Amino acid sequence: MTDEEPVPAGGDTATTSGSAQSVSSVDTAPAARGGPSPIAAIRAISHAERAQFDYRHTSTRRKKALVYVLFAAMLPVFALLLWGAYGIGQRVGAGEADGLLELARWYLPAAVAMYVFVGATEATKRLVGFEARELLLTTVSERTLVLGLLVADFRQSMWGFIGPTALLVAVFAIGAGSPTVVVAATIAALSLAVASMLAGYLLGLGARLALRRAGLSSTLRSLAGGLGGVGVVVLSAAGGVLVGRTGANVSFGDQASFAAITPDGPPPIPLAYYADLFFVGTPLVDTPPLLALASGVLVVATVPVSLWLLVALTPRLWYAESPAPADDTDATVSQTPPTDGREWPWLEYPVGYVADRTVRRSVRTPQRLAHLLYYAAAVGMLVVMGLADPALPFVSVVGGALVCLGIWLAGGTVGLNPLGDEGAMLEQLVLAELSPASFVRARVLAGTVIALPFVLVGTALLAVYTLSPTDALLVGGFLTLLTPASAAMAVGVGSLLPKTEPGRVLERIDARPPEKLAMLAHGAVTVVLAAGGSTLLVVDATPSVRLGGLAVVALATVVAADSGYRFAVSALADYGRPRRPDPIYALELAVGLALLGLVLSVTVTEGVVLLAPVSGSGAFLVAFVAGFVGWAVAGVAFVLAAGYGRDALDIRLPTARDGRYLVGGVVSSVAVYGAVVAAVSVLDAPVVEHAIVEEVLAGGPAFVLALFVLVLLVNAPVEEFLFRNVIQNRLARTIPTGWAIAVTAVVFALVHLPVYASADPVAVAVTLTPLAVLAAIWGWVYSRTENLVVPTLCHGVYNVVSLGLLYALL
Amino acid sequence: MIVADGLTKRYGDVTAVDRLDLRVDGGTIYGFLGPNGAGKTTTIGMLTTLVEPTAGGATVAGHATTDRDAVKPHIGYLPDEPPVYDAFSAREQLEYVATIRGLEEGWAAERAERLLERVGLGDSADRRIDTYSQGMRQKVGLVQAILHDPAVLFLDEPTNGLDPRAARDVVDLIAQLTDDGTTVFLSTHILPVVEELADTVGVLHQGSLVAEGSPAELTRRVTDADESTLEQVFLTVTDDDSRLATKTPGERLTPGEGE
Repeated sequence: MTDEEPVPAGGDTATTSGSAQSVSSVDTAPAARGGPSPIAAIRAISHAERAQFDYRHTSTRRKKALVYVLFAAMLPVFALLLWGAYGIGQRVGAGEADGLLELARWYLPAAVAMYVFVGATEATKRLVGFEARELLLTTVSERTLVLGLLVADFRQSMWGFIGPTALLVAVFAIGAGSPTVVVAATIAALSLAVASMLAGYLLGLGARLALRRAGLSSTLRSLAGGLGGVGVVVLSAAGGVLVGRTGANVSFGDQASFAAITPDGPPPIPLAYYADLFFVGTPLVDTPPLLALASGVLVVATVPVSLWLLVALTPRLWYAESPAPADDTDATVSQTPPTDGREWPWLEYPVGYVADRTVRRSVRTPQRLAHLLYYAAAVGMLVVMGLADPALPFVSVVGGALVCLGIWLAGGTVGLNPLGDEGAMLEQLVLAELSPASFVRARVLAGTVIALPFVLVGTALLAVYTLSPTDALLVGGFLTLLTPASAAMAVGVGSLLPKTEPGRVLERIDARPPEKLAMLAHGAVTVVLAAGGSTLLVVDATPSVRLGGLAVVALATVVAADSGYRFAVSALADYGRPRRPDPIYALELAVGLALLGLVLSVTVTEGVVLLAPVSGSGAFLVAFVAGFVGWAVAGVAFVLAAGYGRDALDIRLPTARDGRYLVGGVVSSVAVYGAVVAAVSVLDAPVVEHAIVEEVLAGGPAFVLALFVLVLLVNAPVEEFLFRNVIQNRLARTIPTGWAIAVTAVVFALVHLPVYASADPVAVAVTLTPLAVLAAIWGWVYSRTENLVVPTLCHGVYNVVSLGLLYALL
Repeated sequence: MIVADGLTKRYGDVTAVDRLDLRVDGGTIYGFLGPNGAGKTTTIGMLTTLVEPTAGGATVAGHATTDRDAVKPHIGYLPDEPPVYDAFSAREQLEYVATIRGLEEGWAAERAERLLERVGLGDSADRRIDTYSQGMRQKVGLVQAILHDPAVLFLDEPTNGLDPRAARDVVDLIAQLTDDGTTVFLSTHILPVVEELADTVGVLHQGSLVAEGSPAELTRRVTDADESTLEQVFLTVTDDDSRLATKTPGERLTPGEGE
């Protein structure tokens, strides 16, 4: 949409929001009557709603950064999914997929239920709680408004749900190799996803209307609505997984027979034959059966019928719910007599008091806790998946799920939106006598108290069959420590991605559950730490693996939790002013960024190796580059999230002065290398060879030449960007430059631990020390020139020289 | 009690407040007038330490606003949207604020009770705030802002959206506060309120103070007519085409004697 387009009542939206760039037309009413076409009006509403939504959810920049990181971290999963889909497609194309059609029929209802659940959960967000409420007072017709809101929502859903589904199905169809199936399956997938989501909307709105008619209190209403949805999705998932028993048995790409895991008998409902449409044009389906065609017609017909019903139904919720809920007598009158004061001991302490009131506010407005349904659904799925594995005892499955739920709830209940949750009160907290840290501690405390029973009961259940008493104590102790850590991470993530930026919102702030992205990031990190730590505590592995792994888990937990806590405290303490430098936070950030880079280099490498159809030396080179892409993502994400802008990149043509530092840096780098080689041979000290050596031995001259290019043009620039331009720079803002160089050098050496992993700690130390010295030289050169090109060239020349010597000596 | 010295706030290219000099004596009411978007709220933000000035500085109750911890015990602040938790009753809200303000429990409860009665909320104090009208919310916000008996009180549009009777309650309460020695910085564009309450009036226009003085002085000096009103003053000095307004910024129209 351009600004010139006639926007019905868009001007109102702009004035209330202040986001004047979103919509411009001010003289609206006559334009709306005279007549933009309905399509233009729908588009305009969709645009205004999205612009307003983005405006209200201000942390767009940080969100983007987090999405990049999550994508890089999940790349192996995506790769597996895509290859799995492609592989299945190939087998279908080759006529080797007996039983797949039946399996697909059994699973289709479960997939539909997923979409319906998502639709029902999200329905009220956009259709009832939409941003551009002023449009209700204009001449825009209700139909146009509903359709505009739907368009806005579907444009967003394309990224989250519908798009990925269509992509996976398309990849599958490409694997199957017939043009017919590509077209048929993609259309079938899109139609089904859209129709199911629309049906979900309808279900969600209908349930809401029905519950309102039933005259229940708002608390019961929220509870019934929410649990109903969770029940539907868990039951259907249970149906799909249990009947097919595939949750535990399928692995992509292997040649397991589909027939073996397909249940006998006809699929549960006739709609299941819709699955046949995904296979039209493959050996599995020649001409789709009548039931499939009928299902197709039904699904396609659902779209207009749902739209029509939504247009009719949605406005009822607008007008009935807009005023204050005066009919809710139980909610409007305080449930507590005024004298109840301080009867509980924790209320004597300010932190305990604030924690208590924070929880109390959440409980009284249950719509604030609607997001907890996602945890319930996820845990329900975990239980179902666990039950599908006959080897796992029921009690242990429930125990594991409870632990998971507890770790999530520790941060998820009141931690994930600490600023948006306070709303207009935030400034009063800033001006209060109580220290900013107290408010953050209160949320951490509340989360921990809520979550700990789940964690402990869950661990106890795991101890019944799965864990020995000693292991249970170890794991229980670890998880008990992880619970407050999870809460602390949540307040950090929540402060990074506030749902609304308080102080900029002009109207009353009501229920604002946290960003789903914040839930996802917090949920993923905590569950990985919980599962990783617990497994390492009980698993049968060599002490070095166990200790090394536990050290990494402990470091990551402490860094993430403490930096999250500090970030949240600083968000309050430094509200409205620049953040005060915090050396410990800066150190944690440096370590955290290095750890993140390490993790992303691993995941991107794995993902790309899985995705790329190359083998041998080529695969090594691809993986080599992919690893550095992972490192780079960590740095780029930080620069983006911190809002440094383009000029944060210190790249200039070297001056004559830079040249002198360049020569000095190169000479001293090579000298360090020579000295180390000499010292090692004279003293006969143990060293560890870089993992690259074996590849150099195996590869031919062309491979080595490519390697030369890569260490110069990929390795050096990326490492210098992350470690010098990002990490050292960030440290130097807070601590003296000398210390910044030293800390960065140590961190730089330590992240090379994986490529020099060895059982001999002396050899590792001997190998890593020169790296730290080199990093210090490059860091010093960078701090003097403030030009990334200089240390990059030093680093690159060093890489080439050392690789060249290595090659010459082999 | 309030001294601003060259207070300036720029958001990117937009200058919200431009080299503002202010002086408010203890126990007086300063009426801060200005059209929408003149920079009133930004000024209050800077004086309450919530907004960092781009240039210049200010002291409130004897402490520089750069030192938030020193300033915050002495000030009360009611923003244009009353900062209350909808899920609380008024009594719970005030108990919460008393706790985070570190007030002595019995003293605060007694004071809250008295103030609630004073603004006519005694009967509704145990109802949840989300059932309140805009005026009731505003009153809870006001009581909350003065609960700790601050030396300086900042009020941003305190009578916004109130019916005449509710507005009267609020105006009377403010008047009574200054009798007890509180300094009040009152931002509004509702002229009768200022006319009645303010000892000194400052008119802010496009980030600059374009007129300052007692209401009587302003009406006498700014307009030539004998029986002018504050409204005419306001319209004159905030008129972009007016010869008076175009003389500023930098040079302020100060009708007071010898100031």
